[in-house]
Formats: sequence, structure tokens, C-alpha cells
Amino acid sequence: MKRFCSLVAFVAALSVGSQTFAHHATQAEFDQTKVTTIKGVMTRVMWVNPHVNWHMEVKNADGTVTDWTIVGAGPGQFRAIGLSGRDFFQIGETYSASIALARNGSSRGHIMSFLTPDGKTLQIWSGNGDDPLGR
Amino acid sequence: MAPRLIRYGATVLSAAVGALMMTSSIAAQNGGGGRAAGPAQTQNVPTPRTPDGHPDLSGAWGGAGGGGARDGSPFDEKGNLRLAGRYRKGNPVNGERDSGISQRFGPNFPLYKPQYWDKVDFMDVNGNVQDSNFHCMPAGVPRMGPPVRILQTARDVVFLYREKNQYRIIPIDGRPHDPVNSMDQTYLGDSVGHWEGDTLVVDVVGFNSETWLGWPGYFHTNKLRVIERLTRQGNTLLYQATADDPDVLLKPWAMNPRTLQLNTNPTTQIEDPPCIESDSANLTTKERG
Repeated sequence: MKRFCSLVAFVAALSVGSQTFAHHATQAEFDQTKVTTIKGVMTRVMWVNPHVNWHMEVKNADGTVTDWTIVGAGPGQFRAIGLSGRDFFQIGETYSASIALARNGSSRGHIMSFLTPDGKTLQIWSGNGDDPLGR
Repeated sequence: MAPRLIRYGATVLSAAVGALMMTSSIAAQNGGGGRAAGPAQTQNVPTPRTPDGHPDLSGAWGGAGGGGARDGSPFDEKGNLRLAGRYRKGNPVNGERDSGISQRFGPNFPLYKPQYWDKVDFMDVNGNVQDSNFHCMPAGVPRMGPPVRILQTARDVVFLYREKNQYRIIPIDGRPHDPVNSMDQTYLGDSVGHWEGDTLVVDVVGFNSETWLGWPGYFHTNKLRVIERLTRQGNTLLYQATADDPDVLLKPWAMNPRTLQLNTNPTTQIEDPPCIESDSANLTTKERG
């Protein structure tokens, strides 16, 4: 897998649909001024409450592999907008994801956008042009 | 204490602020069941009744967790998804913070005895730790809101909830509270129901002190007693709940009533995935909106 992990800092003014309201302040966990794009293999999709989690295996420049955890909204909120795990996220396929990085430095991020293997952009937290994958 | 005194004085302002906030965000924090309903006729529909003459509350109510975009599809013709923000500057952080403001300053909040406002403040400020609902525990009654589906027999009613796939089986045959269950101190308490005219009245006692009445630190004790009233008229269900906790509240608190429409969508579903909380260990501030 071709390594692709570029860190880009943005002063991001994110927008989000009302359906994606978290039950705690996302600001407490993720820094929306620090957005990165990762590309890797989807290894696990956890369609659970309170937040959907995706796991992506991303190969680093030194050959090591990092398991990134990507956090989204709740499954009920995704269901309400017609975003289902089965239709959009396939284990073993390669996705790109722009994420707001975890403040504690762990390999976690809050999803902004996915680029699916078939070229669709799923802009869950649009970025007013600040999202690398946003259209 | 001071912040709470300000809160008293700001009631008029808070009413205005509350009116500006989107109710959907509040519903998201306080339990489901009050969302947009599926198709249903609301007028000139007779209220269905059971053979014993009581209104039949059976049915799916409100959004019931069903799928489908509420405001049109956010997908374009090529299948790309773009969710549009509806918050100040389109910023979700503003949305979360505004939601917190609207819930803290909403015009309808429990009135605590003066000596308990400091505890409310503490619970609020430390809500990421203190709010058990944040850690995947049940929201409790009445914070969990009205049921998304009701099954009714002559002997009992069954309330189904989308949140954490919970259910309550409530006898309506006139029996008193179960002497054991009502002393167990549980998340959902011990419920018994009876009819007052066409209204089903549910009396709930036996709560633990883990759940809250509302997101802004509105704690209660295990002396909490909740009275729920459900009234069906045609395809509309009115849900009202009053919480009384004389140890800490100055007077019973009536939660904002919810009016739900019968959801006739045959694909309505209420199943909710399990709750696996993984955020707490990664929070770096106390902020929660």
C-alpha cells in the first residue's frame, strides 16, 4: 500500500449537519485546527453508539503501520441521513480520510471526509473549503 | 451559587435564546422519540380502542429511529455526500456550544432548593465524568423521553425505546408497586399504570440516583418519583412527565411535553447498536458544549 499521510494544519471552520451532534464537546477531544489526510485500508467498521468508529491501517514512510481510529457521529444520526455502514464502508478496501486530530496525540481523529474506493466523497464535516477532500 | 442566581434572573433572556435554538439538538441530548414522524393522518381519525374501551396506544410513535433523510437527501446525483452546517459560521463547535447554552438557559428547568445549586453546578462542569448517560448508561425516566413504540394488552403496556434498546413492561391492571422492585433503586424504576379517563397515567418510583433529569447537571436522588401521562387522540400521542424529588427540588418539575405522530412507515426500525464508549480516556478538557 502506498503510503500517504500528510499533515496539514488548517484554521478550520467546520460545519456539520444537525444530525451529527455529539453528546460531548468534540472540541474536548479533537483539534479542528489540525487536519490531516490519511490513506489506508479499512480494517474494521464499528457501527456502535455513541459514535461510529472506523479503523484504518496506514503504512508510514518508515515501513511501520499505524492503526488509526476515526470517530464519527452516532449510528442513528448517520441512519437518518441515509449513510449506512454496509453500503459505504468495505473491509479491505482503500479509503482516504481527512480527520481532525486528537488533542492527546494518539492515532485518533474525527472524520471530516472520506474518499471511497469508487471515488465518492462523503463530506461528513464539511470544511468551508478547508477540507482537503471536500468538494 | 452565583451562576444559578444569574440563571434565575436570565429566565426571560433564556426563553429567547431557547427559542432560537434548534429543538433537534436538544432532542439529541435528552432522548429520542420526539423526532420528525413518518406519514400519518392527524385529523379526523378516530382514536382506536381496545375491547375494554380504553384508547389503544399501540403503534410506532415519532421518528421511531427509522431511516431516510428528513430534509431531503444530502447526496448529490453522483452519490457524493455533503452535509450542510446550520450553525453560526457553519461551525460545529459553535453548534455544540450553542446547544449547551440553550440547555442550560432553557426556560424550563427543575427548581432546586438553594443549597443544591452548587451541586448542580459541579455536576454540570464535570459532566463528562459525572453524567452516567455519557458513559453508555441508561438516560433514565423521564430524560429518555417518550417511547418510540408501544405494545398494549389488557394487562400491561410495553414501552420500547430506541436508546440502548430499552424496554419497560408496565402493568395497567390496577396492581400496586411491586414491594421489591420499587425498593431496588434501578435506572428505569418500578412502573405501574392506570387509566384516568382516556389518559394512561404511569407512576414510577424506585430509581437509583445515577441518572439525571437533564443534561445540565440536573441530578436527582433515589427519592425521585415520576408521573407520566400518555394521551392518544387519533394518530397523535401526547407525552407529559412530571418529576418530583422533595429532598432536593422546591416543587415538582414538568418536563416539556412531547407531541408525537403515529409512524406508519412499515420500514420503521427501533434497533439501536450497542453503546461502547471510548472517548472519555481521550478527552483533554472538561468542555462538553
